[in-house]
Amino acid sequence: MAFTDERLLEISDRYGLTTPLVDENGDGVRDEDGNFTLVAGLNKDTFKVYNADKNVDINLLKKTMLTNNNDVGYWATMINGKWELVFDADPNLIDTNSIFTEVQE
Amino acid sequence: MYLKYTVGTGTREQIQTEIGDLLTEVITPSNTVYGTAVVDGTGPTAGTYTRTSTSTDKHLSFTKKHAQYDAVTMPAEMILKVFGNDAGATSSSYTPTLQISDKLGSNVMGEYFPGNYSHAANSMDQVTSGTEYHFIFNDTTFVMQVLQAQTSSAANQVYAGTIWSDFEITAYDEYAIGENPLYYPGCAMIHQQRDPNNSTTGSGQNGFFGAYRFQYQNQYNGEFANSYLYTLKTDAWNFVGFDDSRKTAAYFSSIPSQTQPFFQTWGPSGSSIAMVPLQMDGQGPPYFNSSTGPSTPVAADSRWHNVMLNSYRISTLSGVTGDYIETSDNTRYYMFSGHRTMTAQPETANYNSVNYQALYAFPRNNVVMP
Repeated sequence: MAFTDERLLEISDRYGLTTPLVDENGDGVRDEDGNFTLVAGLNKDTFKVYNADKNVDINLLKKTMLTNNNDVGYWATMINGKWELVFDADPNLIDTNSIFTEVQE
Repeated sequence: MYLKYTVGTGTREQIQTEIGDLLTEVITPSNTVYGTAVVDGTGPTAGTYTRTSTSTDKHLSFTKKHAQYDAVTMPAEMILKVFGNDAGATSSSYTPTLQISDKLGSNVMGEYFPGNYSHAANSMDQVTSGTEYHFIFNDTTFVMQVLQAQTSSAANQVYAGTIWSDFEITAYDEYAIGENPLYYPGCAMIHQQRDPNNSTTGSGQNGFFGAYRFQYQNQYNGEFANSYLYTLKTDAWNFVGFDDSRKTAAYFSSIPSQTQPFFQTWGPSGSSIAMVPLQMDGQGPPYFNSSTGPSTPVAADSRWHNVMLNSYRISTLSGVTGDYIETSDNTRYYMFSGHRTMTAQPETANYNSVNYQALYAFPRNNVVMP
């Protein structure tokens, strides 16, 4: 099941990645209460999320260990007792030890 | 250590390697080939920084340990990348600025924010002859500032900088890194503007300020997150680092306020330069021009106000980048021109009526920890 828009915004916000919707002048579009309309910085069609156990060797989580694609964006945190790894595009994850689980909703 | 490096002729690989060799004292200024250099002071404690880039890379990378690193209680490390690509740029587009990330290489500052360094990235190439780089390199603090090679119009000369400073650790920090191994008690402050050698008000002197912490702990729900940087007005120069009306987002600021100029201190002998320890304010965006505050919880930093070790905001008009002052104990502090001070509300107008330049100072050598 795909991520909902709410879930996408939640994950984007955790990494400081929501952005205001902008008009043709680059100004933020506001709702009737004056607040910006936010859009997720991550693309629902391309981003990838993985979990890993809290106790995995942290050196296995270095970007250089996870992907050969240097251009892919990478964010990570510890949440609900697990590692959460987020990529803005498919990293073709290197998982030789089978320690990652893809999150899909 | 303070280092000033002026680019002569060289490739990105050669320039970054030469800067790295100077910072790590592999060579001295008399040995430079691709530029000219001035070094003042001594380097950091061995083991604090580990150089991870090689002479074939287009950037200069260090892994930095926290100044109070302890393998058991405070295993805090992070990555500093000189000429790091940011603003969503691809690896073929390198900025003349400093990239910040956690020790995994994740949670990169500015990954999605073209506003932050876009002028520096778009206005200059990091190896153009005459481009100046100024660094502070000590145990607590890494500062990098770039000054565009001078052109016929000084008012249009771009400069941009990043200050990275550690916080003094507390029992809270030991708890936090136990919860999240990416936690690091430290933060970045960034600025970008024009006319670096003009400290006073005038047309065309604009500014940008931002503050960044990766993996700070949200005081509201205890989750770890990255702070926000400003995203709008990618073509404008005049903003101070947060989106108005995003009152609950984690936009951090500074004390003394980034919006206000900061002048002399006074005594029986008249005025003298004031030095105030620089703090990151993690409370959230300021609301100087709003009639109401946020109605829902702000994603504020559990650490709230954080002194950035060996980092000072000093009286404006005291000098410009590369000048120095000495305190009565002969400690030498190098000055770095900062952002322009101005109103905190960015997006409703193009604020050309800007104010004095903020001024920062950092000791050239390590200073004994508190």
